[in-house]
Amino acid sequence: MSRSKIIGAVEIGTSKVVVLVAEFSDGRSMNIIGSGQSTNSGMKKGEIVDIRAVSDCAHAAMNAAEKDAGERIEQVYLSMSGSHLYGFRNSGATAITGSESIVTRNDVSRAVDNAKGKALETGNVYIHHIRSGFLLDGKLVENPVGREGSHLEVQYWHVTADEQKVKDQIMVINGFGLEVNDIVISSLASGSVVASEAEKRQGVLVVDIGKGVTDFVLYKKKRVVQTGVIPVGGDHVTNDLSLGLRVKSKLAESLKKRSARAIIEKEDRVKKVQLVGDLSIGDGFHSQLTVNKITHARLEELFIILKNRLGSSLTRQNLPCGVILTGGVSRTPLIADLAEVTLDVPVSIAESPEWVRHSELQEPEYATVLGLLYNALHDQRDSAHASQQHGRKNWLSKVTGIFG
Amino acid sequence: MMRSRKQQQATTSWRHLQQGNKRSKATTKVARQRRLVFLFRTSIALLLLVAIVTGVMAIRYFAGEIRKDSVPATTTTINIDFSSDGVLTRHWFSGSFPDIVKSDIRDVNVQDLTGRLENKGQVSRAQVAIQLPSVLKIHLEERQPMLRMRLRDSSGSPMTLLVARDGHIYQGSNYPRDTLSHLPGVTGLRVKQDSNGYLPISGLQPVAALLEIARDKLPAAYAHWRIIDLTDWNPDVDYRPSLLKVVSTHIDEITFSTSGIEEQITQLGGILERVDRYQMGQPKSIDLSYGDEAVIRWD
Repeated sequence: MSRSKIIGAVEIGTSKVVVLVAEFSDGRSMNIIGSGQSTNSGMKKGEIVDIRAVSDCAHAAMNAAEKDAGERIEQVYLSMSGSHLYGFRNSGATAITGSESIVTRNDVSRAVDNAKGKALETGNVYIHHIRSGFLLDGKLVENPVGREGSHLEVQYWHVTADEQKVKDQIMVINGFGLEVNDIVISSLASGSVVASEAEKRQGVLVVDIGKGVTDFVLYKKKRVVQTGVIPVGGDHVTNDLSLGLRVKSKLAESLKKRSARAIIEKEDRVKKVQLVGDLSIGDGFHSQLTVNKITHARLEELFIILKNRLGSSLTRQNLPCGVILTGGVSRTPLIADLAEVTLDVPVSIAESPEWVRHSELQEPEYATVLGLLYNALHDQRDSAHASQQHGRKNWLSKVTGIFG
Repeated sequence: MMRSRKQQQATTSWRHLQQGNKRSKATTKVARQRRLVFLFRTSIALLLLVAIVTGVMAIRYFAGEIRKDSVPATTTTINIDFSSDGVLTRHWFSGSFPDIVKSDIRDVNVQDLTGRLENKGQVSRAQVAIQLPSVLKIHLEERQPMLRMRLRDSSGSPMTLLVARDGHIYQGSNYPRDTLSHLPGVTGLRVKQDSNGYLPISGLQPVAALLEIARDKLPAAYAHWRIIDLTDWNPDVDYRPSLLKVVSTHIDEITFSTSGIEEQITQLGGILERVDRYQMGQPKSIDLSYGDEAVIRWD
């Protein structure tokens, strides 16, 4: 008999809440059966500022997704973003104590405990411990168990978050009557579906430019090397346009979506763009050059911050597959060109994975929730495998128990 | 050392944050509605489940009750309420119809039993009724035997049959020995039979009339009648002569015609009285079939 689980992927973003509902069968296959969206008004730069407003929006989106799916969500996978997220590398080491210097599971556990055991400042919690690899006597090894050596080191990329902000997001989900099964930071979620396995092996940087913040994740040798959040996003471009053109934010947002380009071109000097576009009262013409200059400046600044953050990791040698841009702002025309010029690595716009057939879900805004579902599928597979192993172990222990 | 590290780790992972506070400020109208809908659906499902379980239990209970009710009926024997205007008894019925006595009252086919009873030649009419829960009511009207007849069956063994007034021939049951010994025998009667037994003989009314009138008017003489010879008797009224011959203990042959029986009996009575009064001796034969005249022969 097939056992199916209904899992909801929830992204509480600065501009909107996106929910996808998928049915998982036996931890082997996934079928997306519903989606829901709601404009979010209670967040700033990826952080909750009005929990009631966020709850209203999130619950409306979740409710719409459940209705669309015709099923009740059983488990929730939640994405997390915001400038409160902090990543750092920490390694743990241990001396191999066995008589023949063979690495045992206990040695590995000791090294892992050392790596994970770093105390955090009060008010911070760990979100992820991402293992980067083992070094056995300074040499990178995949699995050190059973190998000979004297010094084992394990490297981890840790992601921490502000405890209260995590609690707030969990509270929003709990308020709907559900518990959070797992939290995945947005960059990891979108990176898992946007970058292919080959790109992750060779080295690639996935940059998810949202409305409030920009998340990034750097892959090398199929491992996550670095993650981060830059508190700059599409909202900053909108604010800049609003201030620069002296128009309301709403109009600036509309103008950005319709006319803004990341690169200034010659013909922009003579081109005019309409503010509203329908010649109604308050509508007027603005210079395309001004619009593009403002957009260009802010996005260029974003990429410079990114370049500074990544430092020496961001080179053509380190990233043969370059940078993949995703998120709503990645739809800005010529943004890849600007990024390529600024970062000095090849840049491309993300394409939706092949397994996503629905045209609406192929939009860059859905990369994070699709990534959540992708992670959920792996989780389900792992737990199904673990329960199988557990069952087998139980059976074996019963049999062996007969003989005392 | 390791334990303290694990504790520290436990307190610093998001997974150890408390979840499930549904009554927080993050609860919205939509969430409350969802919860209510869930509660409503769960309640409906529970009610449905309870209804189904109750229904199944009720069906099982009532089925058990019906079974309980029906158990005594199958185990109780049929109470037979038997009556007859003749000699047949309840004991005779039990011996003749053991299958009915042992069966369930609900299995008794009234029409079939009535037919089976009426097929017994001794029974002229049977009335069968079932009075639930267990009474089988039977009332029989019987034929009265008029003559005895001795035949041989297919194996050659002699057997005695009885002839009723209406011409039915049957094997009598339960008759007292005296009743049968006083019945005159009959000879010269041609009987036919089919798969159901002997066919009734039609036109025996003159014979019956002869015997009844003789029994009433001349009981002393009738008591000595032993054999009624019907060799010359024919039921066809147009056939002449149709004679009834009686063999008595004292008189070898008394011949009657089938018409004017009563007169012939009266005539016989007169003859026998005269013979007796005048000490004329016992006649060998008396033939009364000539109407007003009688032929009397002495040795």
